[in-house]
Amino acid sequence: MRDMQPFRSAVPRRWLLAALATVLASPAVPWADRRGAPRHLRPERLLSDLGGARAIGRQYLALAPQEAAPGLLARCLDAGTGAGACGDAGPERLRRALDEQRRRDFAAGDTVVIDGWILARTEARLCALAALG
Amino acid sequence: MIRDFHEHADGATIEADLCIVGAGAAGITLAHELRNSRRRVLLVESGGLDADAATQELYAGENVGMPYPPLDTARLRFFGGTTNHWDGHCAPLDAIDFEKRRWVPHSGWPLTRADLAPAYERAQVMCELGPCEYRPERWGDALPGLIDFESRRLVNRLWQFGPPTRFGRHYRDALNDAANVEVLLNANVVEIVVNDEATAVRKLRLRSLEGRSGAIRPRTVVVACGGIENARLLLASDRVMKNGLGNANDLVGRFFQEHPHAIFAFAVPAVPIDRLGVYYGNFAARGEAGAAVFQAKPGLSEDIQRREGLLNCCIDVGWGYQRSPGYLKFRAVAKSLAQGRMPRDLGHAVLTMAGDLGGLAEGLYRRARDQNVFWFACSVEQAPNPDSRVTLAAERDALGLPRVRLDWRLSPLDKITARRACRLVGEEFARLGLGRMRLDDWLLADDTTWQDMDVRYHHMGTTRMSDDPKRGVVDRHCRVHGIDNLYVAGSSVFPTSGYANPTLTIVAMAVRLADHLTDRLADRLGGGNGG
Ligand SMILES: Cc1cc2nc3c(=O)[nH]c(=O)nc-3n(C[C@H](O)[C@H](O)[C@H](O)COP(=O)(O)OP(=O)(O)OC[C@H]3O[C@@H](n4cnc5c(N)ncnc54)[C@H](O)[C@@H]3O)c2cc1C
Repeated sequence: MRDMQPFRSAVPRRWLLAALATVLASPAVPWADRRGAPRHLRPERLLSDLGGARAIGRQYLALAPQEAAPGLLARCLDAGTGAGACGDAGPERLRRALDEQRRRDFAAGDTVVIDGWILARTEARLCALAALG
Repeated sequence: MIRDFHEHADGATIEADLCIVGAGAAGITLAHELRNSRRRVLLVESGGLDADAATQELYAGENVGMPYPPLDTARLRFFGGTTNHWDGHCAPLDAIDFEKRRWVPHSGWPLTRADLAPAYERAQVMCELGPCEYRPERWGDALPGLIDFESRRLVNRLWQFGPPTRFGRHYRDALNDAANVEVLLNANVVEIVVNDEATAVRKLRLRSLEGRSGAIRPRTVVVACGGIENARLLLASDRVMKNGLGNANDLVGRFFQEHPHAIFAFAVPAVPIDRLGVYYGNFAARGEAGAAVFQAKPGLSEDIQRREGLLNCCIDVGWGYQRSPGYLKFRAVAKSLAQGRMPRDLGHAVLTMAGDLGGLAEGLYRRARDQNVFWFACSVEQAPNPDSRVTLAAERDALGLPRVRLDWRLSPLDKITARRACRLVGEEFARLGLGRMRLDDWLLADDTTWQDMDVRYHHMGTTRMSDDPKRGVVDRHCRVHGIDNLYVAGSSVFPTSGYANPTLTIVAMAVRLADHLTDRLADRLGGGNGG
């Protein structure tokens, strides 16, 4: 039934909300610097529901396969947010930078539609980073 | 004076300076504006003062295009016309709606919004609305909670709610008391008879369902039978002009437009639902300009329409626990019962609920847990499409008139506009932290299909207006090109539809036509306006 779709979709709403609550959950999983993403952009530090984020990320990568490289994604996120400047200043500052970029994405229409949900490009990239992690 | 056709002798010919055919929003406005003048005004109405099944059946017709409700339920055929069950939601057209827009083929009125401004003021009064002030900034704090959209993309559009005015009931006494007006009930105009050159109307042929006939010899005629029926009467009057009156360029009946309307997204709220109260309708406000009942809707800015080549569109925002047909019907029934009213069409409501038990159950579950969502529906302008049209069917009605056949068609731009508008609203909701939107699958599909379309019963465009007879049936004064004393009133003259419900503009155009006819009748008959 059409009206139940949102709650049965490939990206469950529970995940989406948790993952996008947004970009602001405190780090639940200790990160380890193994995969080439700069330490400060380790997704585990930013997303509360990695499972959900990864599901979104996989769908984003299907739409934008050319971005399927952690280093590239991290650079894109860095460039948008200037997050690199935050360095190890802590997740709070990073989260703020990402949140601002997310708003700028929405204002500029730099969004993607994944499973019907409208996501800021920054959100989608962060999820993609989680999926590659 | 209000009379029944049967009070006239069978076969009688009635003289009138002005004959208005159809007593709906347009016809009643015209007669009301021209009451107490020296001109004898005859307002001819097919039905009586109350609904009657046999008369209503004259409206039955065929639907051969996009799914559309049966044509005899999509309008009403008695004194007051379809305003006997309209909802009174009103908004004027925007300035851009009148423009010739390069990206909207067949767009452009021979009028501007400014030309219509004085008439809109008077139409507000006819429709019992508040002041003619639709600019949100003029209402200041009286409209709290308006969303601060990025104005190059979205703007807030205001609508007003009337009581809603039942034109028949509300203006009956005024017309009955007017010495120069005769309302003729239960009289159907079945043919407009023109001279051999088809340059002037000679008479109108009348018939009743009881078999009585008669004629009207008018100096001037206004056809005001509604957006579908206006075309039908012109097409069926084919004795001299084989394709019907005003149809030398095969335009009568074409460009039929509606306001495609469908729920197409929901959003998980990030703010309390009440925060957007001004968007849900029936919001009473009092400001410096006066008092009115409002609904705000996010709409596409003119800027983005021009930049991206979009139609005009605005979005209804609502909220609920569930938006499935079964649950929505349940809510409507519960509301009626709580107000001590029997719900309209209970049988249909029960069937809808029974057909959607899953949706109903989910709605009730979410209701019990107080989990709301915002939902969004579009009111989108339909691009004028010459293949979307009203023609005559082979079958005839009880009066011998060919029935109408509606072939309603949409264009790709209609859905492109709805999709874009919805996405913009979703982006703005997310940017402003109001909620996160999910678009329905059908809206994302790159085709022209619509799901669960809920039409608005707005019938527009079938006798479109243009100063060029090759492009329009009527001129800027609503006069049929080539026929000196024949006019058309109602939304059939709209070349484009905007997103706004049509009746306020129908009434404004009727007010404007009344002014034109006052001058013209004065010229023809000599002397002033009378009074
Ligand atoms: C359920 C519903 C809700 C609506 N809500 C809104 C709303 O909220 N806002 C809005 O703007 N619009 C709304 N509308 C549309 C609105 O009702 C119409 O736009 C409006 O009534 C049209 O006015 P009209 O005078 O052109 O036609 P009508 O009101 O339909 O009147 C035409 C009249 O002509 C008569 N007639 C027809 N043929 C003949 C004939 N051959 N001889 C003599 N008489 C004839 C008919 O009996 C009728 O009385 C709604 C419509 C419906 C069905």
